[in-house]
Parts: sequence; structure tokens; C-alpha cells
Amino acid sequence: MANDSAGIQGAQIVVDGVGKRYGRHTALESVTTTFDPGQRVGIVGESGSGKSTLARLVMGLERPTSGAIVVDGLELGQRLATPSGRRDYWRRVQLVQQDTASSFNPRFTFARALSVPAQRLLGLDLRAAETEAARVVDAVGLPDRLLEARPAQLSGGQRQRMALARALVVRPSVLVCDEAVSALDVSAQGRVLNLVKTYAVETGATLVFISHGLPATAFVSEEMVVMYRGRLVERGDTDTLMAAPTDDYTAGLVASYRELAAT
Amino acid sequence: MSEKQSAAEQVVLEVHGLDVRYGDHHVVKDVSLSVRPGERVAVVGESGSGKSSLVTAIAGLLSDDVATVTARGARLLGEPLDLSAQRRRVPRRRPGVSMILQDAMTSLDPLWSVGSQLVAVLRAAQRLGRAEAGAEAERRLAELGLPDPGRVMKARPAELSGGMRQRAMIATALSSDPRLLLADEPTSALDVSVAVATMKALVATTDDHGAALLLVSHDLELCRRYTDRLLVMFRGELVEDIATARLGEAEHPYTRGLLACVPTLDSARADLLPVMDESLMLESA
Repeated sequence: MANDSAGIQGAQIVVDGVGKRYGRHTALESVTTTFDPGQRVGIVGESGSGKSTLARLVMGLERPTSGAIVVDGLELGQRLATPSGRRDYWRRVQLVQQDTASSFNPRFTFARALSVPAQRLLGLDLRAAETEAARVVDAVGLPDRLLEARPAQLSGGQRQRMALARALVVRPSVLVCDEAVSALDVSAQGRVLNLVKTYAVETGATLVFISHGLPATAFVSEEMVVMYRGRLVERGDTDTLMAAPTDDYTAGLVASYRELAAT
Repeated sequence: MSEKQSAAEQVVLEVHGLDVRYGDHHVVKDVSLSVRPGERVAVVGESGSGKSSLVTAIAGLLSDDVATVTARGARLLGEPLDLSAQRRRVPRRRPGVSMILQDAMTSLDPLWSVGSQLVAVLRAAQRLGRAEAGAEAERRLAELGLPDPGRVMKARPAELSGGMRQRAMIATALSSDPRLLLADEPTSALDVSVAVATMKALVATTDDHGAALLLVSHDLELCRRYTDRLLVMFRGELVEDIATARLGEAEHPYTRGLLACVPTLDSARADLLPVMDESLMLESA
């Protein structure tokens, strides 16, 4: 995947005092953090801690209720106000989600699901887009023949790798993974985690890796953010944070894993 | 002590040559196992390995319009047990056995308070009066470490967190004082710190009640910590039956692969994670 680096253009994402409310429910409260170009940042926290809300806001799929997300100096809402702005942002920033069954159109073959974004976002013709699709499918370790399959014909692990392939086909400079391995068996998890980390390391892309699983997140990330009940409670270097967490919630989480491992 | 009772003292459950098929799909292949009184046994394996079908068949929850279940023989508490799937509207109860599922939400009635459901089961199982059953229900919820049992009693399932709901479910399952508790992924829907606490409560309470536990889980670390013996399922077969303490001596390549590729806080510092040999993976590459 080394030749991907040609297409990489970094992006600095600043999350500035961002809050998100749904009616009376506060999903996110005054979160401030930065994702710098090429950084690998893990975000951990339990369900309901606001991790996925943060991912959706960074993707521009929702608007913050307060505060702002600023990408390379321009507020994200303004950036996404024009068709060319949207095309540019979603070519550079790609999301892989947990539920891959619902993120593919069930009627399309994977050849089509992968070559359409390559045509639209990279401006390739159909033949070049199909070549790109085949290249990323090979890179995620899936056989070519699966390009002719449809979502229902693949196992969960295969479909998850296909979702990663679709994100990588446009050579994103920011890859956001939201519980991208949580539904997978451990034997399949390791492969996807290795792919995600390798892509970021080899291309210099930014990785925002969201998961409730501490070991997987620690594996891919250099820095970790801990979320608890809509707040960012801690951010730090991954090794330091695991060795000496300063927040009580983080300490409890690390201790749970240490206890399990102490057999 | 009669002969029947002493046999029941040695094994709670004994299954010989169990097969489960869904049409042409053979998901459990010639599996034999036994569970001793008070023993905690985990059935581990990945999706599609047949672990859930195995335990669901033992619970008598598979009906013959979806599954064919056959066994060379089975005994529960010393009595012969018919494992063959049969057609019935209401699953047949197995005396001395209770079961809990992954999400308590699917087992509890959403419209009733947790307390009223627990009281109903206690009254039926223990022949208690209403007031007595109420007090007993509260005591049992407290025993599972629920902080405010009075409030939990009044709450409907949706008003509780996943961990609290699962504890309420464990209390309900134990209310008939079963000798064997079957549990299908009881902590998989929970966050790790909650899962560990729930598992501790489950283990402590089954111990106190003298119930054996047959637990299905994909979480090897959790099973390793909290059970006495592991049964490893792979492609429908039972490939390893090993004491948890001796897991390091596991012989089957699949068990060894599984142990190697579970990410831990230590393996997390490696450049790449060890991965399972493709030939041992359930899905085709």
C-alpha cells in the first residue's frame, strides 16, 4: 500500500468546545481535542459515552449544538456547504462503521460499491476505478472473485474487510473507524486491526479509532482519548495512559483488563 | 441415599454423541460432555462454531421445525433426558435447569416491573406468599450486588442499565434454585468493566446456591478467569476439553491459535498482532 502516499493530503481537525444535545439528552458536552495530520488516536469509553456522536460530528453527518469543528482553518459546516466542498472532504475523510450489513446497498455488487466512489471522488473512468477496486480488495486480503458478490453473500468478517476496502479505495488522509472490529471474532479481528494500523503507518494518514475495547485501541493508537458520559476525561500518550491513568474511570477500565489478564 | 441420588451427585449433566442439524447444515457433530455439581464449564468458540446450538439443544429450546437433534444418550440429575427436538408451542421445562440469554431485554417482559416478574417466578418455584416472595426477591437482588434493590424492583426493564438488567435476569433464573444454570453469552452485550462485575456476581451467586454453570462465550479471557473447565468448539466439533488451569497445555492447533490471537494490553504494544492461520478460520478467506 506504499504507493498510496502519493494521494495523501493531510488534514488538521480541531474539535473546539463541541456539545451535542438530542432534545433534553446531552450526548456530548464541551469536548475539545485535536487530530493532527498523521496522528493515530484511539477513543475509548463505554456505550453511551459519546464516542460515536463525536465520530458523526467529525464526519459532518451531524452538526454540533455548541462549539465548532474546524478543519484546516475552515469551520466544517462552511466546508460542507458546497457540493465541491463535500466531495473534497469525504474524499479525504472516510468512515468505517460496525454494522457493515447496513452500510452497503444490498442490491449492488462490491465491484460497483467500490468503483462508484473511486469514479466520483477520484474522478477516475470506470476501467481505472475497477482496477483500483481490485487493488484494495487484494490489499485487505480478500479474493478477487468476491467483487462479484453482494453483501448478503459474505460473512461478517469478509464484509468488514470489504467496508475497509471501500474506505481505502479513495485513499483517505483521515480514516475514522467506529467499532470497526467489535462485531468480529478474535481470529478475524487481528487481520483487520493489522490492516488499519499498516495503512495509517505506511501512508501517513490520520487514524481516529473508536472502540470500547482497550487492547485493540491501544494496539493501533499512539495517543488515547477516554470518554465518559459525554465528556472527554483524559487524553495522553497510549503507553503513559495505560501505565499511569490519572482519571478514576480510566484507572478502573485499565484495572478490569489487567485483572482478566492476571490468570 | 438412593442409587439415583448418588448418581446425580456425581454429574449434573451428561451428554453422549449429540448432533444438531438445521436441514442439511450439520452444526453440532457428535459432542459428548459432562458437568459435575457446582462446576463452572465454559463452551468457547467463534461465530458459527455450534456453541450456542449445543447449549440451546441441551436447554430444549430447539423445535423440530427448525432443527433435528439426536443424541446417543443423556442424563440430567441422574434421570434420562430426551434431547430430541420436538414441536411444542411452549418450550418444555427441564426441572433443575435455568437459562439466561445475552440480552435480558429479550427474556423480561417490557411492560412489567422487574420486581413483579421476579416475584411471580419465586411464588411459582418456591410456593411463597406474595409478601414473603417480595422480601425474598429484594434479598436476592441485593445478593447480586444491585445497589438499590427497592428501586430495581419497581423499575421496568428499559429503565435499567444492561448490567443491572442482566443481574435481575440472573436473580430470576436462580429463583427456582436450579442445580444447573445455562448461560448463552450473558455478558457479551456489556462494557468490559460492567461485564467483569456481572460475571463476578454470576459466579459468586451460582456458588452460593450450589448451582453448576454451563456458559457459552466467545470471550476467552473472561472464561479463563472465571471457569474451571473449557470446552472448545470448532466447526461443530468439540476439539478440546481442558481444565482452565492447564490451558497452557492445550493441544489442538485451533485452541492454541485462539489463545495466541486474543489481544491483551501487552500484545497491544507489538507492531502487528498474531493472526489465526487461514486454514483454521471458520470463514473462507
